[in-house]
Amino acid sequence: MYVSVDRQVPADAFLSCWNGASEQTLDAALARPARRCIEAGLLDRSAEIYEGADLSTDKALSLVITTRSAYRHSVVKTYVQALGERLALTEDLRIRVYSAVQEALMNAVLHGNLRIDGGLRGSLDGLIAAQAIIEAKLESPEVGSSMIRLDADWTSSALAITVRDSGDGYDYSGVRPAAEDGMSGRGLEILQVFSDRVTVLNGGTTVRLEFQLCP
Amino acid sequence: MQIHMDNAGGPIAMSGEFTFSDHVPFKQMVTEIFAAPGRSVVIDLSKLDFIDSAGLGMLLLARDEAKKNHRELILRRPSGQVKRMFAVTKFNTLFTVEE
Repeated sequence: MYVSVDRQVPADAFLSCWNGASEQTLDAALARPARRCIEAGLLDRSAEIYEGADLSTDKALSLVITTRSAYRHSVVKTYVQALGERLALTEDLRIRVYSAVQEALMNAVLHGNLRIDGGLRGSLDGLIAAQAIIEAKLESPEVGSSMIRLDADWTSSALAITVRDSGDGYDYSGVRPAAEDGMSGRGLEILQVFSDRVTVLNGGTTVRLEFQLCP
Repeated sequence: MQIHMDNAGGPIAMSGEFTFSDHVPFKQMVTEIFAAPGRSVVIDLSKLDFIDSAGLGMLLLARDEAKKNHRELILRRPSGQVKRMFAVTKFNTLFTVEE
């Protein structure tokens, strides 16, 4: 059994714990009726994480994970599947949400928390060089355990998903669209094309994606 | 992401999700396919379920590697989310894409 309930919080808080082992255990931890799921290593920060949050709504799903797990597991795929069990997502919307949230999450991981130089993505050898840096950072307790947070909330007509990292922020105003055959720079374009609204908050550490739901 | 290669020179197939964290096996695949003789290289994408911007960028790096080796890289039968990403980013204009 992979899912445990933190008995120290009210029973109606619907908090589950993910052991960080696999997509299968994440799928179990995100199963209904969970509304908030925190990776085991971050569980002792749950009060701080959810301070001031509205915990009463059942139209929300929050996931708080380490950078290490965000990089190593297909977190977005599993998270979008869990959303699909709670609200009706058409195939079109599922693709758009999955594509946009994946871009936001990898941006949060690589540039927000790991601070990987985008220039390393310009060649296959650069990517291999980046891998050594990434692995070293993921093994560092401070960086590997730094937090990535996804929060979804919805109504009958709209879905909003917020992706937050623990980095120093990023100036999106300076981002230029990728050249057609450029190796990188498509992430922001993909966020804009696949979501109905993109808002960058908190100095670039937070991206909010909004989607209209079909009636 | 999984890569399926045979030794008979047939198409290479990718399946699953292709994202930034797959760059090590992808680099290995590119090294292997361009080390072998031949003209065109076909990658079958019909079983690839998902690609992100990093995956798209890696395909472009493979295309450049093909050009360096006087080879052509052909992408075959993208579908679902992958086909949609190709359309959004105008990838069909950058590669030979076979339906």
